[in-house]
Amino acid sequence: MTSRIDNKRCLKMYEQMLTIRRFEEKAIELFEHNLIRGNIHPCIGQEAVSVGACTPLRRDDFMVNTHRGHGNCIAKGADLKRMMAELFGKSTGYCKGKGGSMHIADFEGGNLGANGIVGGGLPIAAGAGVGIQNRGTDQVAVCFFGDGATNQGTFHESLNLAALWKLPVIFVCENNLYGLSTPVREAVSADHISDRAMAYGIPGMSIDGNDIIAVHTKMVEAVERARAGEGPTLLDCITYRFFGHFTGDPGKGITYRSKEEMGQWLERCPIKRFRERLIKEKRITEKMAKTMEANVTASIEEAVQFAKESPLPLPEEALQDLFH
Amino acid sequence: MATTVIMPKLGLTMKEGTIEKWLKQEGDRVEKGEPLVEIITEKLNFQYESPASGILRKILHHEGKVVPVTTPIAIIAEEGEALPEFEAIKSEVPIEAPMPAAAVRKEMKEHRERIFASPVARKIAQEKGIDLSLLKGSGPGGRIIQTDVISAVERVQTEGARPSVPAQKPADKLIPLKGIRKIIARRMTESFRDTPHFYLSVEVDMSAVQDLKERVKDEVEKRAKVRLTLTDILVKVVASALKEHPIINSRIEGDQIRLLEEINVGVAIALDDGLIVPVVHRADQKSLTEIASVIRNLTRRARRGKLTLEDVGGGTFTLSNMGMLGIDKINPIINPPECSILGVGRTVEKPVVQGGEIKIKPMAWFSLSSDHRIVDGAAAGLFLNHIHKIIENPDLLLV
Repeated sequence: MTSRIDNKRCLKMYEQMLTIRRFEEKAIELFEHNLIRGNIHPCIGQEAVSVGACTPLRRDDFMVNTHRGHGNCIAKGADLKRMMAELFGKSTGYCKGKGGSMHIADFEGGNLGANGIVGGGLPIAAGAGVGIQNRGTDQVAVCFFGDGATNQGTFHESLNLAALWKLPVIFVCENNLYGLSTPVREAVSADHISDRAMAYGIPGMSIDGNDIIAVHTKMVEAVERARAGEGPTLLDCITYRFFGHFTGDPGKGITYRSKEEMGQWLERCPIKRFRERLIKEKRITEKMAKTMEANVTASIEEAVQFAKESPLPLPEEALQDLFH
Repeated sequence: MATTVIMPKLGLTMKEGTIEKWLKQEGDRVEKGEPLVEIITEKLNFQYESPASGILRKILHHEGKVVPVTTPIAIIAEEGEALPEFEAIKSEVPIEAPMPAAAVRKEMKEHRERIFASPVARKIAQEKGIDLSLLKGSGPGGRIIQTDVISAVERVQTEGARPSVPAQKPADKLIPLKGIRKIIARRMTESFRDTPHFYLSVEVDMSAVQDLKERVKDEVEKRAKVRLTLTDILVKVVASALKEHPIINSRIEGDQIRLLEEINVGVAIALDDGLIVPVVHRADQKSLTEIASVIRNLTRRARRGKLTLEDVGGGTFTLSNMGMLGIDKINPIINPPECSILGVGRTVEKPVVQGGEIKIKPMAWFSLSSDHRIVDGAAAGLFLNHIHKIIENPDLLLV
């Protein structure tokens, strides 16, 4: 199945997934050491959705993110140093240290920013779609959101307008089965979140979000459709967060998820699965994988060093760079 | 490479954590990701996973210890690997590295009381250069409002001077709430806030128990080598009364009241750093000698800080005798999750009218605080009266 994706791209995808995992692990460690002050919502376990969905994008395509957004930032090509500096609240960060973990934006890289409001990004993505349409370019906008967001009015309003106006938007649901501690089956009326696409007459599909090739394949189709002016697609990527909701969720979410369930999902680790696949298809050797891992770890350490050494923003700059 | 395990910050507001249980012992092998230690924070109970693989070479803080976040708590290293000096680790991991400005703000916050003022009052004060801390507010709860600032501005204009600056206040001493003090603060706040207390009092004639004490104290001393005290007799009396009034020997559990089988009477003891309540377990089944001996033993160990969890746990009722401190009457706060607590004051000779005659009698106030969710005034009153009856006629203990 990977045969359609060239070797170089496959390895890059693997490296990005690994980078996301290590970045998150490091961020949690730094939080525990009280070096990062704000809460962190790690996306450990969801790497295949981030990388699978962002790989088919160009740098000038737009991406709207969520509070659990480090992975999507990295997949959209963010610089690790500037990201880490943002987490540290340093002036060299993407938002000059004033946004923190949940509000990393990089307009030049097409990252329109993340949002602490559930479903808050959906109308922004639709708006980006309107902008693209008005300018007449072949860009697309990708909107990430969680399963919880699909019950918000913004989800339905945005899908309706995007469908009506055939906006070049791809709605990617990172369906990790829990809205904080509420299971999706207790919150969503439809059997599958993708069923909701029917209401707006757009294609919708539920896919294995821990299979990066599946995500990538569907995403390529959705992007092609959007670029061709045929309108939006809803992708429901079913995945799982291994860590829990945030730094502060006891036992990685054990208060609302069973040990058995968590164990089963750990078995389906998207990174492990992709690595096994790459080795089986002889695209990567154990030795290459080891070297890659060492390089990734080194790049994260470098980012931490950069963040630590960077200056804090000045108090008199507190009111600069605000949205009005 | 040796890894220093720290007290992790596990939530945004976590400042310190309690080491509840080491899941590995010194010398054990531990793998990265394996549960290493149980940590209790103000909010939660965590199993913290080992950040590294190796041998748990050193445990720096033992179970029960409360330490601030980022404090080193253990060292994981390979066999034979040199361990970093503890002091060296301490300086290596910054406990708190606030920027200078933040530090200054923190100082200011600690040393300045919060001033309650409306936003418009603040705005005018800032514009006119009025120091809000010098004003007295006339708003709700002494809040400084617009008119207060305006009249201050007028005063300044007419008097041509700012309100006089009071002499510099002497520096107050600050005692941090920690250890036993902190636990008392928390538990008593919870009890007083969450338990609807009510209080009943009765003045009791102590002559009969004083007589009893005189009559049996030598025998008790002979048997247990301890001097019998009034507290010992009170424990016996209370235990006997509790047996007759099981509803008092209870606790509330959600939507239910649990009547407790065991009668375990806690005795409040004042220590230098706070109050502790060791428990006389199954007090109803113990003789006066046994009770006296248990209480003396508990008191001795309490003063040396040697009480075990068992000694202070499982209480079903508490007795607080403040007679020796010269207090007439107390209304104690219930020791949660118990239903009631009895406070006893000092014994004082008083004129008492009995059968139309004034007699001088040793009298003491007994006050019972009870949880109104469990009992009403009548039930608690019956219990207190029962105690009253036994104290004035201790022979009833034999019946």
